[in-house]
Amino acid sequence: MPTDWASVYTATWGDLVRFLHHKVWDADRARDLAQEVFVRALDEDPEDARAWLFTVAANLARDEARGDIRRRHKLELIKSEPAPTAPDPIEEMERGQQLRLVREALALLTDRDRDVLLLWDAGLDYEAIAGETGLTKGAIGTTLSRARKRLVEAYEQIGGRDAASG
Amino acid sequence: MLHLDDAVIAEYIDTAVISRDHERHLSACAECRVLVEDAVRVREQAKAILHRGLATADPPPFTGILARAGRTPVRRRSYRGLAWAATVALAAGLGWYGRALVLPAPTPVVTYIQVPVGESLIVMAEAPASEAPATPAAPAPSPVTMADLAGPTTSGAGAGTGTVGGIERLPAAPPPERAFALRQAEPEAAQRLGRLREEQDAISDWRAVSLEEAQTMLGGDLQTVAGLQTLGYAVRAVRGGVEVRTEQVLGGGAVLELLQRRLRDNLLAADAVRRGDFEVSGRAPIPRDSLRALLLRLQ
Repeated sequence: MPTDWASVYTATWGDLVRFLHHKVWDADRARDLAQEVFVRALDEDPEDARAWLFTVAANLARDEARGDIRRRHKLELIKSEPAPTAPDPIEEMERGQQLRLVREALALLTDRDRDVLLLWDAGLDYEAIAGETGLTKGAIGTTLSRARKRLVEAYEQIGGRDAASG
Repeated sequence: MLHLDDAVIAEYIDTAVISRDHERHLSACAECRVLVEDAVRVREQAKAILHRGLATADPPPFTGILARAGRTPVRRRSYRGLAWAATVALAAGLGWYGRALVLPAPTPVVTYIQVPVGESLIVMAEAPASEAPATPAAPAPSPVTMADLAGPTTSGAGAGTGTVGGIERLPAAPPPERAFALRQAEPEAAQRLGRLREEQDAISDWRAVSLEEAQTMLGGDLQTVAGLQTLGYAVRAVRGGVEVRTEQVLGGGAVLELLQRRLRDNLLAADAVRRGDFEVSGRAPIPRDSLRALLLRLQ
């Protein structure tokens, strides 16, 4: 039975953009890459759509980090709205500060812990996370448990440090 | 039996999968139940952290993705259903264009576009279709200068305009017959008009400088909004001293311009905030209240 891509798109878009945002740390690029992931998915029509999408997203983010995609071609961003209004600057600033904390906290995790954590946050099950990361399914629980604790500790530590420095 | 380890607890809270032995142990062991509760709490905290600071936006239309992938999202039968509408639209379109063959040419549309040329402001005028008489066709409009906008002069050519710092003085208010024209002007023109008013004070162009240079020339600390990335600084001479422009990124491509200068005669402009001996005003494509809130964060 063919995949209902419109439904997958609606159900997965938010998770995919968040996953990519945590990889490339640029909201526009994250949305751009998410679109590219779906374009590729339509060409491939994979069986396990969700797992496939996040595998491709991880690869694109990796390429993005190396600057490959930017050099190859400039992806065309499909706008959801004609002209977004300027965001509230106060909200934007606070949002930027929160994102910085999250980014610094995630940077304190090992690559493996971070990958597992982001895939879990994207809604992948243990089996799919294992398939994507190369870990055994039995190791996912331990890794995930450790990664979550470290993230919370790191975030509180950095947030506390910022608060102390004023 | 030993207590449940992290892997078992994680799988239990994430997938609700647990063996019978572990389930029996959990029901009898208060210590493990506390561990499970802790793990749930940490999991929710981690989830909340990962969602922090991220803007939620609706996905772009899926049809856009289809188009980008080279797929057509519209089924053929949709065209058939709309064939009659296309025919009507075609006939109406032909009729509309055909009217030009039998009716006199309409008068040009009036829009006023203010274009700074050199150091003076030129207003290009055309007449609006809705306001214009049907016949006869008006002659082509000619450029109108700011002197025209000021209305008839009483003391010879150039009176009421004058120059300050090489820039043409603007009239206090346009005459009534020109007010409509200004209301019809494009938004950019209004912005240019505002900027030109400010330019009256300036006696030099902006020059990019470093932070140190800007502060030295200003004679005090430069005020910026904490937490915003600074793009650069520029300085220009104004009457009574210098003015420093600081550009900061607001996000979403918007730029905040901060203009700082020493207070003159202890008078503070209405839209500026006072910081020591200086006044700072701002410009940004954001609501006025938000801009005001930003200026109050200057430090």
